[in-house]
Amino acid sequence: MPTSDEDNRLEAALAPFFDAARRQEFAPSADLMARVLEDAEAAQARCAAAATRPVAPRAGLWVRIRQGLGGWPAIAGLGVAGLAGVWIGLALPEVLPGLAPAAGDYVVDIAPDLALETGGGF
Amino acid sequence: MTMPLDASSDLSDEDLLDAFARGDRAAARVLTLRLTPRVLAHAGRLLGNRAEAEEVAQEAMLRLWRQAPNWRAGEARVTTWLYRVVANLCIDRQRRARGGTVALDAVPEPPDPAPDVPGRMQDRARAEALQAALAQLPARQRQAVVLRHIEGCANPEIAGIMDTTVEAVESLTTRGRRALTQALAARKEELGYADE
Repeated sequence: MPTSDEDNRLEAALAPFFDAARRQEFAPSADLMARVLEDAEAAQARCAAAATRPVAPRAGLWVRIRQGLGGWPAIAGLGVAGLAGVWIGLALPEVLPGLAPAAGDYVVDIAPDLALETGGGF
Repeated sequence: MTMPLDASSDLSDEDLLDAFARGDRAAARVLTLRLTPRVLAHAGRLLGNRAEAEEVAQEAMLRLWRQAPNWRAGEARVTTWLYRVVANLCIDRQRRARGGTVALDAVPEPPDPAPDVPGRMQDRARAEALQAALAQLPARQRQAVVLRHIEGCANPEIAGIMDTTVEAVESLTTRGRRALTQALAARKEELGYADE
């Protein structure tokens, strides 16, 4: 690697060449300038078209919920299931009386100590 | 909406690009007039071939137009961004056409503003000799030397363009200058080259 002094000397010696290169303008042809300007105007036109493109209005909350659930068929299914649940809850004691333990049923007490505390009738 | 602009507008490149992105056609014209010659010159110095340099210049400017709507003010100078794009496009071309040589007669013709013919001829001879010597440098040395000594960029800016450190730029330019000196030494009398 050259020393700083040597590098300064090289830089000074090359300076006239760099100056000459800077003075050598690369004048663009009229055709190139026309093509560049044409590209510029086309790019601007694309930007303007994108900016004026109508944007669909944002759907309302109810519409988004309905779409999220899967539309009307899914909502109808959910409704029927909900009503069925309510009906089963209200009607259960009458339609399933046999679920209550009857006298004489054999019951195993798996926690007799706890039974003392509750004073249950098992 | 449209501002009264011309090529000597005082607005910065960044302000003009902002106006361009908002649809200002005058800004498009000023940027084209202002930047295309610089982009073409840089591509020409890196490639040494006018036809290819014109293609690179058009492509670099096209990328600038497409980037304009997303340009983030204050992040980079437009010219810095363009130098980087030009360099990448040139490197891509050189990789595709590795082994090709620089055609000196393809280097752009100089303009005619110089007042004296002998001085103009020497200018042209020096510029052509330098271009030929630059073509012998490795691509990154050539890029660093052109940015530093012809485009006039500072080392930190070059480091940003080349995505490297300032120390690496200094090393590249130092080695580049030494190689150029050696390449031009054979013609020092003819070109008025005083290295001693």
